[in-house]
Amino acid sequence: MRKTSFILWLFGYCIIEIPRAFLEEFLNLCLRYGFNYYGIEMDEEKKRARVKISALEQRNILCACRIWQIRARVVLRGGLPSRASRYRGRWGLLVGAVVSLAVFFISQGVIWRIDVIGNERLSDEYVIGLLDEHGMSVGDLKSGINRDSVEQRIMIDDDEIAWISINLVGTVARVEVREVIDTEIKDKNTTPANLVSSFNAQIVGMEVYSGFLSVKEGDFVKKGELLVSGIYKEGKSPLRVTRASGRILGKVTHTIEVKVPLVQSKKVYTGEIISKKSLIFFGKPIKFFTNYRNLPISYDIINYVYAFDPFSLGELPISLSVDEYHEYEMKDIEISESEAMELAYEELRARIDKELPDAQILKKTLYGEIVDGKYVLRCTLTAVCDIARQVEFEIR
Amino acid sequence: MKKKENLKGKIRRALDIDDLVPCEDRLEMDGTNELCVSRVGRILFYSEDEIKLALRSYDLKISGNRLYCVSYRSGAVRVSGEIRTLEFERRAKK
Repeated sequence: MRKTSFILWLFGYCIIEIPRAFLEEFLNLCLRYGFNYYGIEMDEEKKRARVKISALEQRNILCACRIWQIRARVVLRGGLPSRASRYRGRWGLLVGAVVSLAVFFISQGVIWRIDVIGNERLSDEYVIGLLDEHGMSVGDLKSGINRDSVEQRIMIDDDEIAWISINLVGTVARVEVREVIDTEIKDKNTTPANLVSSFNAQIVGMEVYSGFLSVKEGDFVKKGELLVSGIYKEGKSPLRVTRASGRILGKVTHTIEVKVPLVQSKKVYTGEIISKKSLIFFGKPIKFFTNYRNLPISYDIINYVYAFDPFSLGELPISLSVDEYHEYEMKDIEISESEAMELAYEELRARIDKELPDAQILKKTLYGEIVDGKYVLRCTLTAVCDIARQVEFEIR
Repeated sequence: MKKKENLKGKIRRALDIDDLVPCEDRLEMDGTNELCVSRVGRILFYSEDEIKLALRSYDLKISGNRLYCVSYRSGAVRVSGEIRTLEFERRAKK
């Protein structure tokens, strides 16, 4: 029997059996009335022929066979209609098929993924978050997005982005960004201000962008002393006010003291974990359950997001989000001196980074001892750093 | 004696459309695997090895292997398969 074409399968076909003696008559009938058949097969004994005909013509052919007195009977029905008839009455399957088809067609019109390109300093998440704030996110209808408006508003609102372009390629939004380079980031605050010293220091260098310089290199200044004034006078013109800015490098001696108690209150996880799972479908969370156990009094939340990436072809906008609530208790634990010292050094590093950022350290003296159940670490630093701090003032 | 040409033949010749409107039975072969025969009156015999068609004034016997025929409403029949021989048998006038 010949291969069944898709169209024949779609509309259905049937196989009729005709005695060999009537085969020529049947073919003449088809020739006369223009009926189509799609294959003739003889049985092994060559007594019967099986002819495949379209289900649409079946009624007419069988009727004509009766008139021509050809004995024909349907032995098999095939194709989509006969398969579909097996599921008659099973409405769930039909509804499922209709829903999946609807989802398929609707999904063509929504954004499945946002790809960000051209960003170096800014993270993808930042740009995607920015787009979300301006009305464009995964799962949004493509037709509902005014790309020009989103682009314009982001360029106006965000100081970090110089230019942005949104291109829709199928269901993927390709967002191209150009970041503002550092020199373009200007201090938009225009409130008048002076630059004062943050430390007792000796000035070793200066770089003034605006304002009137009140000190010179080699001067010793106290903490809070004026370095660059925001009020100045040029020639005979009246007093002018500005926001003083610049860098004044000074050699400072700074002492940092870190205290680490030997008895510490620490988090101890009890091992009790409560998980809350939700499916994120096109950016919209769908919770699996609405009722969970009561949360413990003290807990840490760890959020895991498992993206669905079939065959590593790209992430789909379907992901599983799991929030794990880890219960903990605060317990007093005694630590050794070496452990306390380690913690003290860690804290010291953090404080140096915070209090003397970008400093060039010239000398560092450390002294540690245990005082009243605490490990005390004293650090005296001699460093060159920017000592200028802006202090705003009012004009009445 | 020359056969007298009828009106249909004259028009066909005048318009030079002999190919489009054939007056005689027409056979077209594509290699040895396909044969199209127009103006088939009846299918006299059908089997995988032999098909016999009744044309206007003669019968055409097609022999071969795995023969299969499809008929069209216009009276054309297409025979496909491995065609080995074609035989023409002129029918005796009744």
